[in-house]
Amino acid sequence: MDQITDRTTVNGKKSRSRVLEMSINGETHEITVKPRVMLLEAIRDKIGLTGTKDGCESGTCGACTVLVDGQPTLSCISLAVENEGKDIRTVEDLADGDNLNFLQEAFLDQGGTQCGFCTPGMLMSATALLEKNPKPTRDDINKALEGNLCRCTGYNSIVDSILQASDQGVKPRLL
Amino acid sequence: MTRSNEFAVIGKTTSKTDAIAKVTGDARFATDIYLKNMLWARVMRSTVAHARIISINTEKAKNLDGVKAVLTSADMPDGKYGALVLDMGVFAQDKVRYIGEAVAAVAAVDEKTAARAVELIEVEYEELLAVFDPLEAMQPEAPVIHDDLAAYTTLFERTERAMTGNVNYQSNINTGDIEAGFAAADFIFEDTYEVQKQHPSYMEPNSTVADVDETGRLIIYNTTQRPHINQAILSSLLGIPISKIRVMPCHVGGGFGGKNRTLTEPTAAALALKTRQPVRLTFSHEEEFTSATTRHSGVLKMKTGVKKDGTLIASDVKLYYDCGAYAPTPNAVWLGAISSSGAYKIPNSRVEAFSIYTNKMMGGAFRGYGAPQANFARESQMDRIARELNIDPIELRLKNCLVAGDSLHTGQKLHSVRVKETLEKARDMVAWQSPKLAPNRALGVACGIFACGGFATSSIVKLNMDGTASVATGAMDMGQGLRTVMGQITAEELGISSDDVNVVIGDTDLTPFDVGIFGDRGTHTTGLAVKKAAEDAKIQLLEAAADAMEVDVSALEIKDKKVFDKSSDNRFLHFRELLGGGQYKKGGPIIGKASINPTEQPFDTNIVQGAASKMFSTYTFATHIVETEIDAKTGEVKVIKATAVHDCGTVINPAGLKGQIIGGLTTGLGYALFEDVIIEDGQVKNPSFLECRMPTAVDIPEVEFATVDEFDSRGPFGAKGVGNVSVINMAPAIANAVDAALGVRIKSLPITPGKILQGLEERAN
Repeated sequence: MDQITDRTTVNGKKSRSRVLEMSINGETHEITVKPRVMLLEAIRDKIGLTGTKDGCESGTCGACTVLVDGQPTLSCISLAVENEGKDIRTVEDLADGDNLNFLQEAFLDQGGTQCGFCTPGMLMSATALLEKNPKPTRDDINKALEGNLCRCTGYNSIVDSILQASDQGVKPRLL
Repeated sequence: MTRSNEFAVIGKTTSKTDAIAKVTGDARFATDIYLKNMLWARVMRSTVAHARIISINTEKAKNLDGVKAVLTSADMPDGKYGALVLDMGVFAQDKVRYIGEAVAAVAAVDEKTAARAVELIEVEYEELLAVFDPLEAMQPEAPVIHDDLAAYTTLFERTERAMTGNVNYQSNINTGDIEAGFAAADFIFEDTYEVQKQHPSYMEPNSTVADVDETGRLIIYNTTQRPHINQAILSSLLGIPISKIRVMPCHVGGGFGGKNRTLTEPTAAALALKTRQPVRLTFSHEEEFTSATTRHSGVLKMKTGVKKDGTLIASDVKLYYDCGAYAPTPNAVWLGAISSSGAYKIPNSRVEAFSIYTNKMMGGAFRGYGAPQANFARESQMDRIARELNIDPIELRLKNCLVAGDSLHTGQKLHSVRVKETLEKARDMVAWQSPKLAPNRALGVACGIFACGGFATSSIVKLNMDGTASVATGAMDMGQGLRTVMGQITAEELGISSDDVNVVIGDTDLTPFDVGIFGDRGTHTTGLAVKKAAEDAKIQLLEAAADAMEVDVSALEIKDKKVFDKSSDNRFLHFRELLGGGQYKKGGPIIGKASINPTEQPFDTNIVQGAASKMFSTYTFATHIVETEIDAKTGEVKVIKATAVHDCGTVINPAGLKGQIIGGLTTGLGYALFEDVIIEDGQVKNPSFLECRMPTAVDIPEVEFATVDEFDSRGPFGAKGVGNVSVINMAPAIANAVDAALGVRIKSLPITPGKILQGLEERAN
């Protein structure tokens, strides 16, 4: 953790701030942060990607979940400096321009999003799950989502979305 | 009668119009607003439960580098606000009444500086005796929390106890002859129930960014269920005209009633006006649990007289709802009073309902709005009656349930009631034989009623030159899908597709008044106004077509964005031809509008005193059956399956309905089993999702749901609401299943393992 005590010159002033090179969604961003700045604050306030949500700032709700080297990570309790040089992915990485990916499409089909505040975190936890386990059971999904709270949906439609995305017989709803 | 299969758009799942932005991360919430030169605000809060403020010293805070403004009540006009009782200032005025009450606020260059400045504010208190229990607070010797209560402005007809001592609101219902009713009863059941505080737990914290534009107008970006009421309250609290305030709500990250409030807006606005810079105020996670609002906790006393055959003949209910230190929505107590008879016909009924101040965080609106408490009592006791009279619980309910044409105990005659059908259908869906299935495994049933719709709203529908339309309403979408449903209603009425409708909500510069989205009034009441505005636009369009085609309006019909002369298939005008090119023949562009208030009929004051509303438009009903398994060693209850059957009238958007039913019953599940904001000596002991846990994905049972066939002639295309009634049955259904499985009757929520083990121990002795 010697990085944190590093003193760097920023704008000609001695400062505890550090210049970090962050790789987010495949792009490298150079940002200046104080040592105690969390990854969430770096992503939202410094880089301006506000898709990742700031819910509880205490690691309890999961709205800030991003992927760090493929692992779902609560960005509100992970220091920005600890993530330098790692591959960080946020919700903005999922779509290709105007084309939604299969998981996003499944959330639309199944009503997996209501208010939408938990959705970015849910999508990132689900992405991590499907990358490791392309055919998860309902139980696997419930466990993978245990750290992502949602008050709107009762989770059912989110689980159905992930099952649809994993191509396991849950069809887009037709009513 | 029209059924959903006769509609083009209604009853068909339409993808939520805002869903794409929500899965890409583009949807903008209030916390996503970053303005140039934006300041960050923090609030200094009371650390004592009840005290007189002797002095507030803000000098050190003001002198801290980076601090731009510090405000206390001394800097504000001397106003108070509330829904029925105007009792609360933006900051504590003279006294603090709960731990967590706002005393002062700071705006600074960043959040950390603002937080440091808050710590530098010094307040000298003269502590007063506090009271935390609502029944103690009703005693004559209890400390008085609001000294000049009687002088407060109230917006309801005061009953004898209202605005005296610590009682801020009281309503009474008296129907039939209560003494004769009990005299005629063969059995009398008397129980006391206790309910806890449940936090709404929307995922997005309360947040406002306030800005002052170049003309000096106040611009508010916020997360709210009621932008137009926000605007009016800001006007009154800040002493500036409504025309100088624009509320522009962002996407709302969940509301559930908790954002039918004005919490962060006045503070952020006052700081922005003072500094002439944009100011953001976002509640911390802890502040959400100490300084927002919860479902009312309380004590419910229920005495019911029953004939041998199970006929309910008399009911005497006393509701003591703890509203905390201020009473933002005593209306919930009134809804509790209405719901306390359950979905039953009881000829002789008396209800006394109280909203009582204590020195605790506020009780306010939360999905179910006063009914989950009352229905827990009513439906728990119904099961006790069934068991003791040896009648099947569903049979007992069917015997007593309301049918269309019956009057509720408030005297309101009901025109749309299918609770009987919900009971029968749920019974069939689970193949109900008897509640007990196996040792420690049982079914539990509950049904319920919720008041739906009412209060003022309005809408504007504009037709565009290409035949598409734009609909505006001051109502809000908190995720329940109001945008989508209003688009569907407009499309159906105009004969166009949902994709052709742009829905504008909330923004007070662009939309007409709506009182706020609560109490199942979105689909129903806003829907009625939107339908009527679209109808108005349609009539104008037909008149224009009649002129152009030189036929009578009655000879015309609309299909596929065309107006046809019914007598000739070949003769038609496309909407484009009628609306395009500025060639309007009939007085210019077409704009339909409607302003309505479907709650106009007052209650009979011989039956009801202190009503907090006029008669509701209609009522929604539902039956839930849960299958539970209980670990008798640990006392843990697992809900394996939930079956929900709803009477919500016409279904407008099936996917939205599913979300409302499952989301609601999940909130009911948390209320039943574990959610509890614990307060000791006025201090919240578990102020986080970690300590005050809500259901996660692993807690959710298998859910089956259905609706019963109903067309409410007074709703838009026959629709009623669904969002609230989905919450109110889970707690009693689970309590009833626990009793059926173990013979242990839990009368206080939540139904914790500890209470079950204690009950088993008592039963064994």
